[in-house]
Amino acid sequence: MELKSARIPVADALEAVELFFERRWTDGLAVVPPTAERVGEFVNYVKRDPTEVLGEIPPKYGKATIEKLAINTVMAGCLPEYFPVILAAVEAMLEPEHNLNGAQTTTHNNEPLIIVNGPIAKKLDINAGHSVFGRGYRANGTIGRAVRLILWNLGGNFPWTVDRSTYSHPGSWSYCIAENEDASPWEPLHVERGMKPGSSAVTVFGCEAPHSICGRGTPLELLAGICHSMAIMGSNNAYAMGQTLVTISARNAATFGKEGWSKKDVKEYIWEYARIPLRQLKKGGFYYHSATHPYWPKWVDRENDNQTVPLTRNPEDIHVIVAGGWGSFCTCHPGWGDWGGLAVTKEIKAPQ
Amino acid sequence: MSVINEVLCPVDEAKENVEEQKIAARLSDFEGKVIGLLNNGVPNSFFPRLEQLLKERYPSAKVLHWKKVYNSKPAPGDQIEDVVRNSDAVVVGVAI
Repeated sequence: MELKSARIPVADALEAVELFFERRWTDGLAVVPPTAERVGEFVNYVKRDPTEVLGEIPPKYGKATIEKLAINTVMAGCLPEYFPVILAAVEAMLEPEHNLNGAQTTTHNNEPLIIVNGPIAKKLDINAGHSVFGRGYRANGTIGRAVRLILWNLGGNFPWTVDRSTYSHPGSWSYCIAENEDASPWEPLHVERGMKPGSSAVTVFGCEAPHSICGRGTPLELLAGICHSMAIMGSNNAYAMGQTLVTISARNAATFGKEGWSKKDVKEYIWEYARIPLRQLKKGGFYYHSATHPYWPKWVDRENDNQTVPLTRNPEDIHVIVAGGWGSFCTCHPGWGDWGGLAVTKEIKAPQ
Repeated sequence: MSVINEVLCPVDEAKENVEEQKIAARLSDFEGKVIGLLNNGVPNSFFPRLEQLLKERYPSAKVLHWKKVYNSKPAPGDQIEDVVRNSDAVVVGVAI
């Protein structure tokens, strides 16, 4: 196999690590030096042509060849078996509805969350349970980081230049989880989104950091807390719709399952009750966007201050997954609104 | 770990060290010229104020407005062509 990337001589591994800092080819942490031998292992694992191009990563529009993607995946500390997950995530982010160009450059604080479904999650030991958004698992940490390094090195979204995110959030280092399918009473996210049961897939959704929601009890008691936590003026969804995400912990998922609530029931309830009165929305926030742009459903009566406005145009745009451990908490993750970061699901094509 | 004596470049070499695009020739004055304003659509006071100043200082200049279809996405190519075809100078603003 012929790899075409430029080769840079180094004295040893430590010099290689420092070289990547000097050239600003890393996210701020040390990388695994991408030698031709190691990169070749990754390309061989997926049995794809290293010159194959998946697309161009905005805003710099560097070509996402299998070779360049492998280099960045090696740098992140991945194993070759993780590479198909990263390729699927890149394919997802390049779909127009995700608006990667905007997501890479916006002042909003969304970051691409990678949600892995299907048998590959267990095979790769991707954490889905306790401390799911935290540290401690190589697959979660390095798959998320590989995607970020690809966005960094091929997309060139450096802070202060074209990355104008006002804050970003810690998921900017790595934001990758698996759905806790074992604890879920419902169909997995990827099956809900059209993939075959038993397949493995990645869903990428641009969203804020997890906002913890306390609560236990009946489904209605749980949903009261969830809806109140989501219906806030600080959420882009309140003004610009788009999509939003809720994760239900293993414990609370068991409650919904025991009481016979379907995922559709949960989504419809949130859509109906996580609403904000127009008089509140008009006080500030992004009302200046809503006032002039047609983001809201047509039935919203802008003359009626008692009108309540949902967070999305329909219940289907509220993504609900089961993730996290056995605790009395859930999380919500506001999206960027209609502007982008919308969820895209791609099958993970692991070599046979 | 085996001995390392070279590493592979992680960026697209074709996008590195690209010469910065030269800026277009400046107009000597705005008298009688068409000034295009390409607004990204976020409500703000920048463009209204700019138009006001242009009209005050260059009464013979004509100001034309375009608004991007979506503020978070690049302007479509045909819109950019339309702006270029109909303007002597263009001000592009990214409001936040």
